[in-house]
Amino acid sequence: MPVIRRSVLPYLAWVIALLATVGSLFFSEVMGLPPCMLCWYQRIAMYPLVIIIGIGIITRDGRMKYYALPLTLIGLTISIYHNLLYYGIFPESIAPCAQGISCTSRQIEWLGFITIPLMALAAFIALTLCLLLHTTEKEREIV
Amino acid sequence: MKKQIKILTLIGAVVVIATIIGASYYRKSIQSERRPFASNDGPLVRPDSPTLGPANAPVTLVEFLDPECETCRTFNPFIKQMLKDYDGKLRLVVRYMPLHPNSRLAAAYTEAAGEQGKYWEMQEVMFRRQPEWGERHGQPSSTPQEPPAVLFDRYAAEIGLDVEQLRNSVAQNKFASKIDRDQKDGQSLGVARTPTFFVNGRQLMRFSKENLKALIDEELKNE
Repeated sequence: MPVIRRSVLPYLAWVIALLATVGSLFFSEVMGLPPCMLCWYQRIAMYPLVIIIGIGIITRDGRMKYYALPLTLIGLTISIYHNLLYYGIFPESIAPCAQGISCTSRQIEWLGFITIPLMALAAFIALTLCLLLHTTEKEREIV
Repeated sequence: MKKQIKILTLIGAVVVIATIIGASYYRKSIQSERRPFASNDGPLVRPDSPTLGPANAPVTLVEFLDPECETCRTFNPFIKQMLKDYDGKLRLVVRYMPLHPNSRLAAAYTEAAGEQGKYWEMQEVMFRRQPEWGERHGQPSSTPQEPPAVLFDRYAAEIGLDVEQLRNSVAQNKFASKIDRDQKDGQSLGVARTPTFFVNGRQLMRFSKENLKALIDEELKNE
């Protein structure tokens, strides 16, 4: 990948994290859809990424991945688990959602397949890839 | 360094502004949507729903409530005051949206009191004394108290109900299907929180006393 396009990757990651943050708040605060327990754990991993990646971009910190990747990987793990429950690959009975809304209740289904857990999964995968691909180039630049 | 800040600020501003505009547009579009409420047999109003105020009032206020919900409790005196203030122009319809452990039992007791003609008295006492029996958010669960049913019996006696008859009605479980139906109706209308208000079929999207009043006034003006 050419260097110019690679330098866009952290911005792309930041925009994804920002959209995921704003979007999840839109779902809960504007549309009134209550977030389930697993959604909250994913939010915990997602929201700080806006700040961490943002500061990483501003300070041109090549070590950004060491701060950001643990969060995206934690989020990704929870998200994979959530999707497995959501699509019935794991039985719901093992879901740790005793209170509030069930983690498998379908609240949004755009175009018949775009659901909230799927969007979260896509966001965490994209973030992880952006950070992995970017740092290889960034490290070269710094060294 | 400056360039990066500029880019992030620009993108951030665009996203935030777009979201604010989107939120306002979304709320407006939902709130302007009018669901059928006049027929008295649709998901908003059922023939057996508890009703307060004249049947031909120009404004019908449907409230999806939970007897155990603290906000519903706080809001209740305001609703009752509005019914007085709007003097004959407002009709209240109560629907159930049980979201707490004792909600269904409390709703059944209120319905049973309704059989003896004291629905609203029972609702009032349930709300007023909710801290004794209800779940309290953000507070450690207090020392084990008496079971809710015992407390409800006592409230019923206090407002002069036939407790034996009341207990029988509740024991027969005859209100379960009504409460279930209300909950299903609510879900079909997208009700996820309590209280949720519909003013002449229009859902209140920004929850506050002022906005509820404003929506009622708007409906009265259009009338």
